[in-house]
Amino acid sequence: MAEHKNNQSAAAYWRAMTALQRAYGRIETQAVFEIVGTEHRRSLQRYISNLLMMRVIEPAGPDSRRAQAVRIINDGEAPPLRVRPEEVKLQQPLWATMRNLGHFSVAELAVSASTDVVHVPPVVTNRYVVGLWAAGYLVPIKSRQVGPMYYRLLPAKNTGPRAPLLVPDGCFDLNDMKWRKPLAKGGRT
Amino acid sequence: MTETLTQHKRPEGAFERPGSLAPLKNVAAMMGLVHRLTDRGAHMPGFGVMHGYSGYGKTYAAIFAQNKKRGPRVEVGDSWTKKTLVTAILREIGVREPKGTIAELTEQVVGRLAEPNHPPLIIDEADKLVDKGMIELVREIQEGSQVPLILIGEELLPQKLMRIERVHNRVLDWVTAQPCDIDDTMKLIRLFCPQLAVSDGLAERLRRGSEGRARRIVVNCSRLAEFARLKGLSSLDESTYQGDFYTGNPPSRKAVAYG
Repeated sequence: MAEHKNNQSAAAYWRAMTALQRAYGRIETQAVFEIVGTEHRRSLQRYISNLLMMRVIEPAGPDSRRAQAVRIINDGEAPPLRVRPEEVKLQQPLWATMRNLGHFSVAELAVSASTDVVHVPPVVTNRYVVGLWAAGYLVPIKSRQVGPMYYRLLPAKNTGPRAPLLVPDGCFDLNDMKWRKPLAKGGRT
Repeated sequence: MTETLTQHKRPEGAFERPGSLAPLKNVAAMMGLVHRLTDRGAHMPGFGVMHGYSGYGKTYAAIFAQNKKRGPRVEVGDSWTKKTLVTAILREIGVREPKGTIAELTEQVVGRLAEPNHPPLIIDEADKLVDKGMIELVREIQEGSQVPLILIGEELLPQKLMRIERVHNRVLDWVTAQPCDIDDTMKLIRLFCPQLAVSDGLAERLRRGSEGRARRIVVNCSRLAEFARLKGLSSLDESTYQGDFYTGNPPSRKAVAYG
């Protein structure tokens, strides 16, 4: 229910932002506040901050630090309202590693995506792999009865360099700016 | 085939262990190459080359460098043309739908890669660039942008590049990927079988069975871990491990006949 409300808010904010960009070539954040209502100020500020972090928008003003004006880099569906920035940062090396390895186990992916500076915990790796499997990006491959499950990234789902975002109610692909809803729990054929 | 999410459960005992591929010798060699290129003087060449036999861990090294530097990486395909190459590079550096002639696309690539402190561009399967006559285009991109550019390819890549003097002269350094030695093998065993004590003798057998190829060693580590789990063992040596190793060879006629 809360996620549904979040998605509605995100859609409203994004609609206002895309309309302003089409009309003026840039988005004055103050104008967005006025369109969606000042009661949304805090939520909208967080949304804009997340979009900047995810490089969905970029500053478009002389004072880029304050981001009073922004510009959409890639248009598309409304990105999610709520993301966990720490997890988003770990999803990027996981996605880059998946694209390079082709097929992998969770353990191999976690180790390969980690560096001496950024450690990608296997728990986060597993959550991301299962989420992308549920969203149709990965297929499991298993040649033996025992041993770890191996996965393969489907070539058609290798959509680009940016890691698809896993959020509680689905998967948002930052490459084509589209939502991919996960398949219902209980199975896929 | 019907699958459920419950099948994709967390593997037992494989979680919360730290570690990365950083200590492997080929990864360290690749990072040395990256640092020499990024720290080079203004008039120094901007190409670096890593070459070696298939399976020696060049891909692991490239992944590590990419994740560490957050740079773009492309893998040249057999069917690629010049246009595919520049389009692929543009996509990797954030252009959603590259459009234009090869000259226009190349100009865009150069413009974007020329940004100050741009991370290195890694091109894997670079042999194909030479075979298909695309290496001069890559030289043009590197010269125009001055971005550190790392070519990764098979063992004959240096000989192939030698034939193209204008590129060969612009290589700052060459790194030859080496097969995993016993030290690398033990590090991989500790990474992938953290709760298992493996004797030096068995580790050496594993290394030889895997021909020192990093990815085969990783597959065989999971075989050791699975064997130990099924037998309830916390340590393995040559006498206790009765399983075989994945060698990459096709099954023998006998194995096919008797399963």
